[in-house]
Amino acid sequence: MTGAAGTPHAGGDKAMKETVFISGLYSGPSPSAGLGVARSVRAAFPSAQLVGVDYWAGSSGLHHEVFDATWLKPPWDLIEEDLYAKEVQAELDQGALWIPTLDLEVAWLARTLATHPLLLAPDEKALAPSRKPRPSVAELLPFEIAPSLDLSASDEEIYAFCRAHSWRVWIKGPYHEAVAVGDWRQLEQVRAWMREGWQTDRLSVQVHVRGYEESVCLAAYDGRLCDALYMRKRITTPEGKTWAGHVGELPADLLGPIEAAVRAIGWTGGAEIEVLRDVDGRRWWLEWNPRFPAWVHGATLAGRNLPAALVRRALGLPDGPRAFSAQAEFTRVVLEVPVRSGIPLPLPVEPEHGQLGVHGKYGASLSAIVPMLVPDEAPTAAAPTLSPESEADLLATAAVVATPHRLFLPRTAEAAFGRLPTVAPVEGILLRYAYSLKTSPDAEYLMLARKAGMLAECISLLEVRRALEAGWRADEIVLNGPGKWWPPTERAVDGLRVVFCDSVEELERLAGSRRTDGLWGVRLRIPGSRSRFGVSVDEPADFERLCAAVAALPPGRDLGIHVHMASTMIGVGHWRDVAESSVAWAGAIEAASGRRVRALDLGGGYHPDDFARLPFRDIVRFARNTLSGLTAVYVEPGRALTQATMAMVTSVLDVRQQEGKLQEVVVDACIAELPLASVYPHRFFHLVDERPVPVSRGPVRVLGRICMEDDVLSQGLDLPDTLKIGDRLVICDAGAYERSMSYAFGRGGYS
Amino acid sequence: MRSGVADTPERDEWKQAVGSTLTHHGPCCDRARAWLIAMGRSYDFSSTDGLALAGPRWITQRWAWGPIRWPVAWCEAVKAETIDCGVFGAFALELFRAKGIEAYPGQLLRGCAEERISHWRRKWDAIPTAFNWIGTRVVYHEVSVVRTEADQARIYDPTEGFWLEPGTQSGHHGHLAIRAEIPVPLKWGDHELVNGQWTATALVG
Repeated sequence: MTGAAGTPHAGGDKAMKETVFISGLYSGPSPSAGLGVARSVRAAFPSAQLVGVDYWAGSSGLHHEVFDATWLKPPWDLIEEDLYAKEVQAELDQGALWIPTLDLEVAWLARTLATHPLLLAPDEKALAPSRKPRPSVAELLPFEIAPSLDLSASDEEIYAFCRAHSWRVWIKGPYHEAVAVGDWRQLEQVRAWMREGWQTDRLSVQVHVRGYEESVCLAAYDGRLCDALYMRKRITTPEGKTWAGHVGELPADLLGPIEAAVRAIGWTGGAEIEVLRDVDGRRWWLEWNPRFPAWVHGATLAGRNLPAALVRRALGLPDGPRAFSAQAEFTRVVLEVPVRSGIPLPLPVEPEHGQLGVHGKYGASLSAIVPMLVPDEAPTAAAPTLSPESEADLLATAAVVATPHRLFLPRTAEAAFGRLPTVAPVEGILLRYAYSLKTSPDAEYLMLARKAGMLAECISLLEVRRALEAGWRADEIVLNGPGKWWPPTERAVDGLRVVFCDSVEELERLAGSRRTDGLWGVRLRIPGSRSRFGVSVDEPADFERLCAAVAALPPGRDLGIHVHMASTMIGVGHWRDVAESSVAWAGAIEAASGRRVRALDLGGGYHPDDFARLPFRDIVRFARNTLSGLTAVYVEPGRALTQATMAMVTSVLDVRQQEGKLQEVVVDACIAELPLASVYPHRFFHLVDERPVPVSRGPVRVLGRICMEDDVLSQGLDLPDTLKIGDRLVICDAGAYERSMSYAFGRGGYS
Repeated sequence: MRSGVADTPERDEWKQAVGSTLTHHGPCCDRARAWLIAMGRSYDFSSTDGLALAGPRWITQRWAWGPIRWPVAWCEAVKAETIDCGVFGAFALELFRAKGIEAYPGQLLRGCAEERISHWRRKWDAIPTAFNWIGTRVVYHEVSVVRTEADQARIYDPTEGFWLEPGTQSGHHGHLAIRAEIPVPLKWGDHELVNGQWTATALVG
């Protein structure tokens, strides 16, 4: 092949006739780098003998004309590992160069072959500091590092991590692959799917960083940088892969640290450091890929041929040209090429229901390499913890109650209500707690709430009656919800503390009533937050209509604003955004309607662990600055106070083993008693000699007693093989909605 | 080689143009501005993402770009389905300032493929009082100049929802010159911005 003037072929080194093996030729929508590397090497060395290596006949790069010959090796689940290692070693010993471009293959080569001057890939010593999830090489570079957590942490810790980061998180595989998850159920699904695919539990969760996708591409030989450049993605595929980009010089502040990092770990080969640059200008480390990126030929077209720079250095040739061409941008196109004779395409498998044929999925079975690399032993999962009060509560009764039984934990409940944080008034504005009756309307809780000086928050007239019966006065009750006047047979008690309307229509009806409640208000549906509740203000006309309705309230009537987005669902940071947004809307309504906003209600749905940490005082101060007439801020904890105050004691009904190992157990509790079993993590304990022994995650599924496919109480626990029928488990965090939303099912009509 | 500014003598009015401002009727426009700012807070996930300089991306997604009759009042602009770059610029300025970011109006001359010009011309001719932003190979555009440091600026294009790069490619959509209404001189990359003056940022052949 020769190139015309102006193409990357021009000026190529024709004297170089060595053989270069280049692997990783999958060229589908998420391509490997082999074809790009080969085109770049060919551009610099027109006379080189290029051998394309892959493990699946469907890898379309095999058929590209750039290769003089091909090696089609078996997929990794069928390959004879020792033989293949010898074959690669023999080629290297005969003077061939080898450039691998598959992450797992690079790791396998590092583990299997000794360092060789013509193997243009990192050895084990260099590779170790770059491994996910927390590569030590990152500490040598001037990047921010996104928080991450191994999934071997306890479920409590993982759940807290996700909430703390507003559920903007990714589950990451051990070598590559990342899937965004938005709640606990998704996290569990992705975790199970990834564990199956990668055949390992060594997964992690990493915080999402909102930023532009950029990359450092480098080539280094024996710890010395050959060349490096910076690429900014312009267009990405739906899978997030580069489709077009802009290449340029490495920013001045990166060159020195990258040279030092490469030297420190003794890197050989190509590498890509994936970076996210946020709009405030910070660069965040994403990952270090131990090979050239698939877009590397785009940089070659722009004048910087990194694969060639690497080959030159390995062969002791002088460095090639480094000047960028006038065109610093590249893009991809889709091209058809004839299939190489002798390597016909794989035939499609017999169609089944669902997806048909081979859908571009790489058929090299690369995940079969993982067990060759990852130690056999599963990571040790952290165990759940129990408060001293809960331990005392369980010791007292868990061993003796008939199962299944939901235990009320009195010491735990007393402590939870006793810990209700006291927030001093901010410039005269009180933070008042209103106990959410719907969460747990049991008498024990109502008594504790009253003792703690809480108001009552109700969503129906039945709940209002219950609150009055429990001793609250009408002016201590906050009434909320879309169906608060139900049932019509119930007396609509007048003189409530606050009534928050769920629609403009309801507010207009209230304005026409002769009720004497202390304050009327509206619940807002905050734009950008998905909710079925409250008044929408997304359109200017909606906002004007709301303001007109507020302005038309009887003279002297002030207003309250209510917002509710459960922090358990949206996370702590997002909750603060919603709370501050509600203040902004309250200010806008106040200004447009001429009515003072006297009260702000921030709703409930707080996780017990988050409740004490949420910045209520900051929010009150922020609200005070915007709303000069504000006198009270309400918070409606229910879940935060009661979720941990009940536990389900259940007995083992069946134990199922496979190859002598416990695989599944059936217990006498079920999703009728624990309807939210899959919505958030629960702490499990095994009662041994009447003492609760913490149970970590593990391989044993816990199935409920009823005939429903989704009656799975845990996807995996580390239960002992000695577990037997009749043994007892305790499932904690069974209060709050687990209690109030439970139902009778499969009991033959007996409750 | 001529500068973008010199290349468009037929558009003298651009050289004098200042950032678009929306008219204000009274209470109806007060409500419109209040609504816009509250919407801005709802879509600014600063605690979620921890970002100070996030642009108002939501306005780019909410309103379509196209001609609008000038003059435009706040109460009309927020209810319009289609707005031009002048309204986008006015909205963005209001939103940046509401969250405490120092932002100023900016005007841009940018290249445009000639084969697009005829389409823009017909679209804008249908609205007689729309702003004439279309030249022969160069078009006028409004942006936000955001002061990030004492002497540094970044340029946000609210119509398209991106931050401009000072060293962009020439040709279609590349910027040729910029003018900023700023209290002190600021640097944008290698470019020096001086209040009210057009600064050439690229050359056209």
